[in-house]
Amino acid sequence: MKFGHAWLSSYVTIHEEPARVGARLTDAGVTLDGIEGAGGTAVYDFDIFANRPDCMNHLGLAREYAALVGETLRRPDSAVDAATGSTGPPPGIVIEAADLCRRYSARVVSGIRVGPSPAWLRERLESIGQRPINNVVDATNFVLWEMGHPLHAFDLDHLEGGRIVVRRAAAGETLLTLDGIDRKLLSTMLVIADARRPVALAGIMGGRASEIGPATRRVLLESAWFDPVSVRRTSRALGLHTDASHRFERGADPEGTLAALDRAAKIIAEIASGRVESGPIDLRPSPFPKTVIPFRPSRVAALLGVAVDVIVMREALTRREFQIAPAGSDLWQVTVPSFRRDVSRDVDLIEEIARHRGYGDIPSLLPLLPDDGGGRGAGERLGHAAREALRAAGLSEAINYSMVDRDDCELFGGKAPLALANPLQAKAAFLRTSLLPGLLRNLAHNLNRGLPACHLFEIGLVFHRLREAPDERLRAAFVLAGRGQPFHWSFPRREVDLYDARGALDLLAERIDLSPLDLSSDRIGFLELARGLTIGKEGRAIGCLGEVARLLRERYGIDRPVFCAEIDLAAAGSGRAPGQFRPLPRFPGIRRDLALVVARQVTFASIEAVVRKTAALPIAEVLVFDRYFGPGVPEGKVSLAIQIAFQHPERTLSAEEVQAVQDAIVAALERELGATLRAPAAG
Amino acid sequence: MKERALAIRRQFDGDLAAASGPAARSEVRLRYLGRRAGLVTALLKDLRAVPAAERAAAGSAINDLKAHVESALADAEARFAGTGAPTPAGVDATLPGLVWRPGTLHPITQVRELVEEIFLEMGYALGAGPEVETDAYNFGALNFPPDHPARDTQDTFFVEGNDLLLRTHTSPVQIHTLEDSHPPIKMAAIGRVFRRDSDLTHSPVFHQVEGLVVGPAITFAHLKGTLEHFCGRVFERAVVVRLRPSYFPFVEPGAEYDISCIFCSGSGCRPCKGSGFIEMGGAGMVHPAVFEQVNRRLGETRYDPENLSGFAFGLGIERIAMLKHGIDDIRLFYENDLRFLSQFPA
Repeated sequence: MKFGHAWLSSYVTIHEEPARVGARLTDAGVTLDGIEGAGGTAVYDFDIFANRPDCMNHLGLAREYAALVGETLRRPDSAVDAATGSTGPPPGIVIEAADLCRRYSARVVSGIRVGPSPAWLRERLESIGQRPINNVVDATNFVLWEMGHPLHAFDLDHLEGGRIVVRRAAAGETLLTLDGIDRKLLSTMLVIADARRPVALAGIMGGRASEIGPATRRVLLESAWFDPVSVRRTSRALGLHTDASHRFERGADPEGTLAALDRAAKIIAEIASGRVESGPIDLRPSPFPKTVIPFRPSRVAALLGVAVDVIVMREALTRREFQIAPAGSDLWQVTVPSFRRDVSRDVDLIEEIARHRGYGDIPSLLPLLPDDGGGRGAGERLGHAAREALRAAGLSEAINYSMVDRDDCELFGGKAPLALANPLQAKAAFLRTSLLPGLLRNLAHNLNRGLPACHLFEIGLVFHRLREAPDERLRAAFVLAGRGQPFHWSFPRREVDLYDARGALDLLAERIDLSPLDLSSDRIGFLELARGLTIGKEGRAIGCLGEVARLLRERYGIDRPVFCAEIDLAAAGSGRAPGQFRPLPRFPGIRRDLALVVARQVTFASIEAVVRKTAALPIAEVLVFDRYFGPGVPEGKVSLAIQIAFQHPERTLSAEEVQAVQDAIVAALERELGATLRAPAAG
Repeated sequence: MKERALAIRRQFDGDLAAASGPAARSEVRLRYLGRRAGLVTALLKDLRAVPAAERAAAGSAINDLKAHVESALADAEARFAGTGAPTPAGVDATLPGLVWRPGTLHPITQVRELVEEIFLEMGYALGAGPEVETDAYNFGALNFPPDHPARDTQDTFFVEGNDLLLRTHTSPVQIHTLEDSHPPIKMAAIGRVFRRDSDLTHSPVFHQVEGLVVGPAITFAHLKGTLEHFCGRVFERAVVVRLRPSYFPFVEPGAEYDISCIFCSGSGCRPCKGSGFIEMGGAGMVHPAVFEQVNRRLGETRYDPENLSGFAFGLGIERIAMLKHGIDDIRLFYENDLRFLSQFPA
């Protein structure tokens, strides 16, 4: 918001350079955004918070500055030289919507000649970027920027019946506003009407029909107080934000209507050779009570942590027109000026005092509170464990926006996604139901830039609508494409495959207490047929693993196979429970290798099950160390080399007893799974 | 003397040329420059015996020799350093080793974990709340009156449904924490927030840290001290915090806080626009209306503003990451380009 240095100087003597003025006000909570020009022609740009409409004008800002430096404030001259008579009957003013208009003050200035404003007025307005229009409009605009109260000037001869009715719009009414737009009004909107139709949007903008023009002779000046919420709702509904609405919706000064009205009437009389008629008319259906705050000066130090002199407290308040009445030991009754609608309780007064003296010398202390050590919650621990597992598996973490396209939800089986009412773009109008679409986009981005490998994971929330309420779930997901690990000259080059994804998932499962994984083949829409698996837990599907369907990945612009997994972390586990120590084996174990040839559809899980079931000796682990099919292995069969580790807790095993068990295992594998030994392997 | 120096020089050049590895070179160094038995060292000792008239010339010859030996050795070291010439065994140790390279954590996560660590050390509990919030938690309970212009600054994404929105700040976690715990409270929450805004420095999704401390006799001074400690730990250097009055409906007095510039320590530079300070975030004393509203919902006076007070503060995780790593475009965080991510191994 723009302020002229010279203009401010009309109300307070400024001895300081503009930069210093800006810094001083910034330290007091009126933040300087920049200064243009220097010396007397300097123009400030201040960022004024929504709670300080009283500073959104030169007099108000001068008051704040005067309070800070201890200068006196010079108020503009509002003394009107009003005539005793009038040129016609006084306008009839009725407030029908007294809940939304708590004060309406008006004056008539007659015999005016509308024309360009004098140079001083044009220069004032132009200095802060306002466009001069004509002397009457400029005068009201000037008073808005001078004293902060928005005014409106009607051509009284164009008000039907010479009447003003403050009321809600009737259904179906329209108003052609000053900006040339014909606006449909809702019955909740407050309008200023004449005897017949709306002539202005109360507190926002006037209408064309009663606009001040070259032929205007009699002006009705309006200075009113409109309900902030009503002005704001209408302004937003119509998409019409004005200097007037900006102030009314932040709260105008209900006691400031007359001073602003008289000031404008006086200026119009002077520069448009008019005559201020007798008046004013001043309707106040429900006056605001004064705000009086019981205030204990001792609370200042208690809240700020620094002692403040009572003299400084008094100065901070009285210079800003608060009135102090001592009411006992450590008790004042503080009356708040009507233009400070942001101040309603003692902490507000403490802030006034703190602002006045500045926040600069507040000491730095650390709170001494007993605490229970805080710590991480279950959700954070789970996310942390999952992140570490996937990072260890060689994947890098991605973080994507939560907003996605509708297709992203539907393609990945997201039923009932949550929609945004006001998305930034149509392609990001839903909340993600899966982490995979974002990761696939990242994959395409990286592969398109020529990166040979892309292994990414994300941990974050997905959203669904569940019985009309939003349902947020923490998930982990990853995608793998391109070159696989390890990348080393001593290894053959390899591309990632399903086992890379399975391995990363295994590591994740171990860290979140979901091991061993319960995987079952499944038809999953977004995964390749026969390459999709469901991750289960206690009979419920909590995730999936597989190869992304070719058609789908091509939609995301990816030209090579992608392997992925996604898992619901909260459903998966609660983090790892502290492991219980198992005594180390005191006796040596024996490892035996078997090279089996089995039909391709025989799974390793079924082989391991037979091995464990058959063995009459304790088994520590069963490993696969080679898998092969092709020349040398019959068609439809696969050669699987496994290693069985026998380990007895209480004794050393003999080669003979292990051999007997091994023979039994081989026989059982042959009987139950049709497995044959490829060649005897060395023990 | 000159002749001796010349002879030693020739001998040295031969020895150095024959020295094929670091060990052989250090042997040569010892032979010529060794403190006790070095040939050059011995020459210097003998200088005392040279007649005064010739001493200056002899000294300069020896010094030349010494300089030659030193620089030739240094050249040889530099020439062979890092190239690890193949040894006869056929192992080329300059070939890359076999690494199972772990992935990286996103820089936002790294800052998040740093921030968590700092607060955990300070005895804070980590708080959390939903990302799809209600109007009541995001605004109402935080003393934003309905239809108040202060809401305009929040650029809210609304979700279709009953008063639902994407939280615009982590401050609703304050309310969840107040409702779910008892004083005294020391809570920090880090999470995703959403604003309808997108450019170089604004992302529609970003992350915030929220801090809340509530207890008897908590003051503005505790806020300042906490911010100074926290920011100092984050940027690994002592910082001065500057508070400026500001307006957030849920704190009073309210403030924005800056820290002394971490690049120029306050003398003025480009990142701090010559001001010596860098803007960090918002803060203030918990507004009593926030406590009163929580009490009303709980149906008990758990937080009596007469007997306890609190402070709250917030700041952006991306902002910390941008300052720490010199990143100038916030959108890089969400592109997930591996050439970006891999710059922050951890």
